Amino acid sequence: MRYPRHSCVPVILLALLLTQSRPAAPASVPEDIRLPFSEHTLKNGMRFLIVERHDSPTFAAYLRFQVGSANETPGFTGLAHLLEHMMFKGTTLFGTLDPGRELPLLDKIDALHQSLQAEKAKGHLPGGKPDAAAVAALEKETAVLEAEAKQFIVHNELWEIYRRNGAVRLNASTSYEGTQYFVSFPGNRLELWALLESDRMRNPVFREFYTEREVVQEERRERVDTSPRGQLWEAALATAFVALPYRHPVIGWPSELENLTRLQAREFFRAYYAPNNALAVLVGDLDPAEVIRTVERYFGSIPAQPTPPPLPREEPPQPGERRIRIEFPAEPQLLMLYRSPPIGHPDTHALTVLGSLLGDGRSSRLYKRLVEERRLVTSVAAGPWFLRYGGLFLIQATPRASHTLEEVEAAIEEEIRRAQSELPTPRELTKVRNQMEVSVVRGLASNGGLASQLGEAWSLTGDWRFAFEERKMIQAVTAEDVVAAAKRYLSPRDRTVAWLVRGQAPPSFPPVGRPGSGLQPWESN
Amino acid sequence: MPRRLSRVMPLPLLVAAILLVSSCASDAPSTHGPRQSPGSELVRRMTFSPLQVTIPRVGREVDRRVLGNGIILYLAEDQSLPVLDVYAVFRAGSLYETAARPGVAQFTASQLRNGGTTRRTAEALNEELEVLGASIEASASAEAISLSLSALAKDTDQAMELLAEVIRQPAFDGKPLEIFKGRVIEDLRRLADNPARLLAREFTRTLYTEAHPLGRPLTPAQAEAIQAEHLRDYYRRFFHPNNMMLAVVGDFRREEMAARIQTLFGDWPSSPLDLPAPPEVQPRFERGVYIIPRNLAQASLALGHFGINRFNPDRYAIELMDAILGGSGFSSRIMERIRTEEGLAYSVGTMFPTSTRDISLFWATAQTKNENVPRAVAAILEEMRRIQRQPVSQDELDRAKEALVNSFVFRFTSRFGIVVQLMTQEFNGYPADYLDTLLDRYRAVTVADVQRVAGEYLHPDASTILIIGDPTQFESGMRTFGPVHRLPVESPG
Repeated sequence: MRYPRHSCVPVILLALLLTQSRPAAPASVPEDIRLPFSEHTLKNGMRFLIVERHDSPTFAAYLRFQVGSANETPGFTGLAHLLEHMMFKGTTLFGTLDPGRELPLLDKIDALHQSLQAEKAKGHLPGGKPDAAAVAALEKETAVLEAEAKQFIVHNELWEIYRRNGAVRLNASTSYEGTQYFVSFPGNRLELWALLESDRMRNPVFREFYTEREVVQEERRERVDTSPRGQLWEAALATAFVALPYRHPVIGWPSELENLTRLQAREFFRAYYAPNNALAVLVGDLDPAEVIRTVERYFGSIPAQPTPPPLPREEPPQPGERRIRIEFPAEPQLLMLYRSPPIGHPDTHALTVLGSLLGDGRSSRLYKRLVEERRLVTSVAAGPWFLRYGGLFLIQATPRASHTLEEVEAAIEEEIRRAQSELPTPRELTKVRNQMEVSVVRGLASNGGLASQLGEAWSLTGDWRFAFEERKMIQAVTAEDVVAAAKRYLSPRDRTVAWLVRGQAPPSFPPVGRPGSGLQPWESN
Repeated sequence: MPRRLSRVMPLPLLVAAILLVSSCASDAPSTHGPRQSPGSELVRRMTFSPLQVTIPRVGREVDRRVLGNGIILYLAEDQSLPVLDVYAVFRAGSLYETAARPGVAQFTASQLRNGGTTRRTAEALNEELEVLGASIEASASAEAISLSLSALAKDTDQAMELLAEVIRQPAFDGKPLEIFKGRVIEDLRRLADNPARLLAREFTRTLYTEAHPLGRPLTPAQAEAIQAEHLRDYYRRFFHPNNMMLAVVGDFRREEMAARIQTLFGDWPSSPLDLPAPPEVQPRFERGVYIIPRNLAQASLALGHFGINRFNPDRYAIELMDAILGGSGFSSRIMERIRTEEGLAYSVGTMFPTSTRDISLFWATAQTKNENVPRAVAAILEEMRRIQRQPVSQDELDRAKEALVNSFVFRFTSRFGIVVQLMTQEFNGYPADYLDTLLDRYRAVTVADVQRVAGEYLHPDASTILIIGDPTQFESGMRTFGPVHRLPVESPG
């Protein structure tokens, strides 16, 4: 059990020293930026970070649960994301006219869906066959009960209360390692935020579950099944990782997504949406003492719970280059993924600098060579992506007709070899460092942007200061470090190369005799 | 690089919702509608301290002056971060293009930034900006070509000089033009890879037709034909100080910045402007179903018709009507029905732009399984008819108004955002008290007004419906919505 902790840490964010830039203007050192940070932990383990800033009478809130698709087990992919959708469906207080009459109906509907899925699953057994009459009867009965339950529903009430009270930027997102709920609200509505968010941590009701599961299947069709980029990414990640859970898409595999149940969502919620597995960052026109009083009152009595212990997660050594070729009715695209270390590893900073040299801006190496000089591509991007258990260094390119993927790949390899053999010039390094500093300064501009940066850093590394300190480590990277990182990580045997070439989309209908849907190779954005 | 996230709300709709929601302000306590959840009573009892929202004004937070050569300058100091932000706008854009030369506005904007200057090559400019971590970008819209500069405050002198050079001394060099042309042509070849982009282009083209610049999307052959001389002509026609507005915000002393701008732009001579009235849209309303066959797992559909321009006094009632109908995400009827209740789509909603110079398009969009297309179309049309036939409830209207009022403060969270808004108001020809009276204009809208504008400006029986998808699964079901036409599938060549 942790004890309440409250410390007020004045932090000097940055000394904005844009030095070493002989070609750039003489460095007049701007004043340091100071923001008051307050950290507070409730008895139940829920952590809060408050950044006081009174530029406008508004604040941004970022609430994150340390759970994402990486916590899913095979057979249940898509559960973290579907749960995120369900968290907007109300509670025992909101979204219902009469929870006492509504909730028992939901349990009955669950039982019917279980029977329905079990009946349909008979088709997966050798020689098995679902009983069509039984399926039809169950579907009919379900529809009747769902219509009955619907009478008690106040649709989208949580969203509506937020909106009519002036919320903007209201949304939520799910990634591999986090699920976050964010909103910007007028400064006088802190208590309403605390009421709505603590209530849905305490008493969520996953009503309309089976309809929302349909919605998410449409989301998948939109982001993945009809999107060449979605196709390419989903297949490439499923190839680049074999043991790490980043191999399955956040939105889930179709056959698993369409069979998720409300019971599974409740179990997942119970396991991971505990206050001791949550953190919140609040930035804006706030009084930290008042925030602490308010969150103590609303979140303080939510019971802590043991969260499942972390699983051992390690990607085995890659035995050689992996290549895939996706066929889709679209123009060609190229994606190259090099295995990289996880977040926090000392080599990540040099890889960040390398990504910037290669791909940031019109004066970057890949842009100059591939877009401008050789005109092989219309766009090219490069950069690292670090996750908790592993990372990737990505290069993505869009060829210009009639240049081939082979040509583009060869030209990229040429630049990689150059990065492995020639030291970056001092001017190139100055440029990268200055661009990093600017991005830190610009990142402070909005309450919402700052809240998510801090929250993400806090969740992934255990320390929100990482959001600023990472930049210092990046500034310390030398030309030699960059070459060493390029040599160590950008090796052909450690990569996955994915080509998208024009062809037919995979069939959108399941093969005969396979109820449920597609076993085809599908994709995510 | 892309972050891999899935969201509860699709981003484009979210952005639309925010734009709309942030259209407006004060602070009424929350009340809830007739369908009472136990929690709504808790919320109703909450009280909120009054919020101080200061509506910014020229002459107070923001300084406006006119230079001798006609440049309209908006200036504001902002010491919250050590940065400089500039936005320059010229009245030009695709509305002023001729049928013979579409794309010239977009090309001119691109080559202002990328075509070098008479003093340095494009490469040298890129290098110089990027080593400062600064950026200059240019873009063209229907009625403007705009440039923006962002830099650290300590580099203000150098960055402002570069911006002035880009604006006043563009070279329109041949090589960057060829590079850009190649990229544009390739992008056009790939347009059909993205159903949402193809849908937007073809829907706009179908309604505006060749008769209007907005109905003439660029073709690869037209892009190929654009020469540097066309850009120079276009530049000479529109780029004069007396056609320019400039907003400058940052960590500087106001009078020092005014003097710097005088030095950089003051000797640019004004010139008589030739700004012909762009062709008027001739709205026509007729039923029609257009199908672009594509064999994908999901269909994309757009449904709509001509709307209004920004001078229409009904725009406030229309915005509220659209918020209730389909323009405010989960708070709107079409989202509630098609997504929440029926599970037919992830992305669905409407937009009714009210701030364009010429007649805009009202349209609903949805992405749904091919077999569900007729059902989704029928539901959208039914909701359009329902809001015409039956008055909305007072509670629905109040909620939509409260959202506008309570989120009004978010219009003013950044000083640069404030200045650009005030300048854009002048550019758009709005009165100086536009922001001061805006909330009252929304507050004045009644239930009867909403029904009246729904009747007058929605045309469920004269809508154009465009679908990209697999016709074998929905074509027969579409005949009840109007004569069905197939549009050719473009080959990327």
